[in-house]
Amino acid sequence: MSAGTGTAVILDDADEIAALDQAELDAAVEAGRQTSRFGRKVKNLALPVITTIVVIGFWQYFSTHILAQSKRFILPPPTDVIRIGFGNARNRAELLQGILQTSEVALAGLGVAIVLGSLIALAMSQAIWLERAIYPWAVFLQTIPILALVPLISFWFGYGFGSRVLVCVMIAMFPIITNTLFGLQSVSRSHRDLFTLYKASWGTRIKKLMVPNAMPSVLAGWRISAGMSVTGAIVGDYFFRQGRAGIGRLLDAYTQHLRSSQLFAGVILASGFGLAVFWVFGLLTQGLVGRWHETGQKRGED
Amino acid sequence: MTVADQLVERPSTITAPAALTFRRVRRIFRGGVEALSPTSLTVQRGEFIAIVGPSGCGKSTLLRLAAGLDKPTSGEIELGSESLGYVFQDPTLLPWRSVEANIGLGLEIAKVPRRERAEKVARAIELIGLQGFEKALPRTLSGGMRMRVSLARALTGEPDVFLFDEPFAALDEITRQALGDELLALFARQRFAGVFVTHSVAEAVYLSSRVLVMSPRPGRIVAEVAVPTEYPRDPEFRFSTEYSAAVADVSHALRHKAGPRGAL
Ligand SMILES: Nc1ncnc2c1ncn2[C@@H]1O[C@H](COP(=O)(O)OP(=O)(O)OP(=O)(O)O)[C@@H](O)[C@H]1O
Ligand SMILES: [Mg+2]
Repeated sequence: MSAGTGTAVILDDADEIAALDQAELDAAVEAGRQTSRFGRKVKNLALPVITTIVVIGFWQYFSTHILAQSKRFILPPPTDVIRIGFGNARNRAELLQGILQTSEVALAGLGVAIVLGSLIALAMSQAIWLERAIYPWAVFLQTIPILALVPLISFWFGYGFGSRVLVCVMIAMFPIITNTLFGLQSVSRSHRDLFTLYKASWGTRIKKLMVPNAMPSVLAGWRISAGMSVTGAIVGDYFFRQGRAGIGRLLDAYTQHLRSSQLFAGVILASGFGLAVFWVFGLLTQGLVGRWHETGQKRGED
Repeated sequence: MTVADQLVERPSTITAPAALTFRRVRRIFRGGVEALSPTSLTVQRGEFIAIVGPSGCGKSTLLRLAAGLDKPTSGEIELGSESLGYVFQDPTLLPWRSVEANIGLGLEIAKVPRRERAEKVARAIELIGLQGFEKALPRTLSGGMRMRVSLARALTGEPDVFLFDEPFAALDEITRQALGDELLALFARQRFAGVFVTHSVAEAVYLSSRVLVMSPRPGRIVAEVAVPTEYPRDPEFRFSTEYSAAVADVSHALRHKAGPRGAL
């Protein structure tokens, strides 16, 4: 049909090839179905479970067979940690009470940091002079050693809930500001042009372009800050030494009294709490932006 | 020829305003880069023109000026219609929105009621052949399909003037030709005025009735090649002598008028 002068070779076994392709396709789909989900989950879980068992086993062996009885308090065997730290009702209640207090402080701190930090980042994204004026302060906040400020904070604001939350906010706000600002500013020029063409208002631009575009980065900031806020709550508690005891003060007390099984139980609980917070924010990221953004997607899946 | 003679000769331009007029439009960026030296051009209603020129010669600048995304340093720009369509080089889809939500974006911002919006979106999807992908997210689509979504989005505004900034540049030759044909079909139905910027001489000739050739910086129009073949055009047009002649003319103009000084 063409006016071309070249020679074209037409394949007449195209149908056969197509049939072959279909068979291969079916096989691939079937293979994908079998290894998918369950298989991958088992594979992903098996290795960490094995390492955990090995580590705990070695720990048990080390403290019961290698450490002398008199030195055992340095590293109490896992069985003791479970029996004394978690098994004893009074100890368990004490620990849970502590973690509850700490998590209240950490969550309140994170909440305040998110609200304040996001508003600050939004303001900075709207005017370059605001960014220039505020940014050095944000960096300053990040670089001052918070521990050095703790006495001052207690001097000004007392030892109560508010002061502890303040420590968390100071520690956790910086990643929120920087990540949110980065997200808000990373709108591409053509997307901005598109909204200009549609004569979108300022509010529409923020709501339909800047905020959704910033979400992956914003959530990454929340995730980092959540971990820092937990640290802030424990550190604040450790140093304020007054008011309701959180996990930080309990850890301090256990150290003082060489109650090492309880100390280990407390450390494990605090780490577990940090891990849980990280995991929850991972799920949140996955749920909110996983559909369209890579950072929200689980690794090892296509 | 006097001004009066011109008026007599082309009365249509007086009665019906042109779709797009540039009068000695110039754009100098801060720092002194002259992206567009004084340029005049007219695009009539229902006319489809193409602009070709070397990279960096000011083609995007010209389109952005036409769309009001940028202001000229001097000169006047007149747009004959309120409804403007603009297709960017990349599809500029919002990755968190489904195909249909992306297509409906402009209508949503213009606060078109939901029912009407759904109808218009459905029509655009049909026009561009994306049925079955309404709920898909952009990242699951091929490059060609994303460009289709971008086209459909521009179509929902029912534009009288359609500006294209190298929309198919990132696509492979086969997809590119297919989309070119779709664009011609759309043009046949909607009869908008089109300005199509491209690097491809073949594409420019195939789509337009007039190809403007721009010189390297400072950009200006150095040649105009008419492609007299009537619309509707079909793929056979690519094998016609008119087509080859126009391609040769444009290539020649690019080499000799826009070439030597352009060789950086
Ligand atoms: N905002 C800007 N500020 C300063 N210079 C600019 C700006 N935008 C474009 N330019 C300059 O103007 C010139 C023309 O740019 P333009 O984007 O219009 O070129 P183009 O013909 O579209 O190129 P391409 O084919 O590569 O897209 C370039 O030299 C570019 O560096
Ligand atoms: Mg360009």
